[in-house]
Amino acid sequence: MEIEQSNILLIGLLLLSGLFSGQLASRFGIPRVAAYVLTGTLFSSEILGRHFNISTDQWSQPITQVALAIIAFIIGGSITSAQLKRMGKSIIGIALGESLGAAIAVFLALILLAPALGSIPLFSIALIFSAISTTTAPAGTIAVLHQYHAKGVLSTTLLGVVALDDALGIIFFAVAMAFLSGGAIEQNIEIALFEIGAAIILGAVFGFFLAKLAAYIRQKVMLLPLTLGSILVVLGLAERYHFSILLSAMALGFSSRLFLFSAGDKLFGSIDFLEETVFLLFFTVAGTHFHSAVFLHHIDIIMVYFVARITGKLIGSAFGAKITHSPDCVVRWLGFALIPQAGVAVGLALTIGQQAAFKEISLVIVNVILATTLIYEFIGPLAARFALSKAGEISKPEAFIVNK
Amino acid sequence: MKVSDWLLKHPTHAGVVRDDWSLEQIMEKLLSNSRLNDLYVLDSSDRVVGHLSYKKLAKLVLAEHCVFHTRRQILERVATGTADELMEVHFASATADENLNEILFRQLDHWVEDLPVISLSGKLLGVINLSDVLLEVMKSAKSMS
Repeated sequence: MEIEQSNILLIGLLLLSGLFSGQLASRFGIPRVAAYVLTGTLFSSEILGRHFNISTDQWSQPITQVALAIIAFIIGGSITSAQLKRMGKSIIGIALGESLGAAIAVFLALILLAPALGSIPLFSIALIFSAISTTTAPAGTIAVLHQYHAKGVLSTTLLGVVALDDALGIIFFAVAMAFLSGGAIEQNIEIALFEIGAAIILGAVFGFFLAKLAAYIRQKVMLLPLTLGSILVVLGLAERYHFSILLSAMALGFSSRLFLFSAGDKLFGSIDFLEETVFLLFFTVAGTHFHSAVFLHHIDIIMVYFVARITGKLIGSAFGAKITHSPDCVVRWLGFALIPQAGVAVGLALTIGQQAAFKEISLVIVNVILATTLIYEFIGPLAARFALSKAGEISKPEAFIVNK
Repeated sequence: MKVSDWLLKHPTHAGVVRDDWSLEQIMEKLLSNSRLNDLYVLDSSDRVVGHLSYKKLAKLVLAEHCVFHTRRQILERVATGTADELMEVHFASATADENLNEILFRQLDHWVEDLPVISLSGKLLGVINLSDVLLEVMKSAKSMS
């Protein structure tokens, strides 16, 4: 039987098997993400893929692109300028500090320690990894805060930071890719700036119309096709005219929320819940790209990336907290809670293969990000627990309801 | 039956808050009457500018007990705004001259307990309570049988 001939069947199998393995893993206290990736790995060319002639090459790129655009739209629509003002300089300063800290540390570490990969300049590879390293995993953080009933200044700051840094990560990544597409950076600065600016304008203009159209639609069920249609049109136009797809989608989300003048429940409510499905698909598809040879051959890059990202997060968050005069517990411990890396990082890694210039290293990037994501998923909750405990923010569940 | 006739027959207390109220003030209002499930936000000219649902407010107040948050919910939890930021500006409503049969699908589609009836100038004339409608429907079904 050749599953390759039925891509729809394979997508269905990936979603269902990923879902059930994730549910099973949760029961045993194992991160769902690990189960998703391992399920995808089962379908890789080294296991079932060989026997059933499975290949995700044909469809994984366009699907990943659309899925990542949906995530970028959701991220753009989650932030308002009023919230940014209210969050204050502390959260914004720390988010910038930890994102830049990870990016700089990963970039420098790879430039200094990583071996060359094919014909691609090390500078480009380091820049791609450094952009991906900025993202964290809000879902994992929420789960830890919930599990330990954490409350306090560290917990609140942590929530604000993880809600912002995926947006920063997407911006870094989009800017990096705009500058790298085509080769030499010096020749591309003008083109890149144009691509970035045009992407933001495209998204902003369509966002305005999306918000206005949403006002006229009374039936809730009609909002999902409106939103998805708008994302696809913007994505298609951005692709056609070589603008940044991610920035266009994020600007679409931000602008539509801005012109809605509201909490956005009506427009975003239907699409918000696609995030878990999209991440499930990212992890399982990424798992199908697993190659033990690639993994073992680049263990040095995995180790360098793993250590450098953590170091950058720790130093960057402490620096951001210090200069914004955050409380001492935030300066000292917040970085430990920022270790998880998940869906957005894997999604960004999967899109690398779309750039012709980086096709030859896309498999390496996906395998490095996949391997480190798995390790971070296991140690992340422990590190977050350590940070919350050190800050004295872990409370007992019975503190909420007092039985008299 | 016209909506205006329904309002005369079933005058229902509408929950209203000001657009600059904090979450604490909004919750105080919501919990002051156990029948309130929907709050409508008024601007300084008393025009209805938005809707706040019980479910949304409860989720926000009890956010730390939720295992799953959307990104918007995380930011609302961290940087909670006033009523005008929390409200939904596109909400289901009716006008006084509509027929009751024509507006009930709107109430069910958006699942609002209290559907606001709004005048041409944007002022709140009253609300149509879903339980009142259900009682009326059950009563007429009983009398027909």
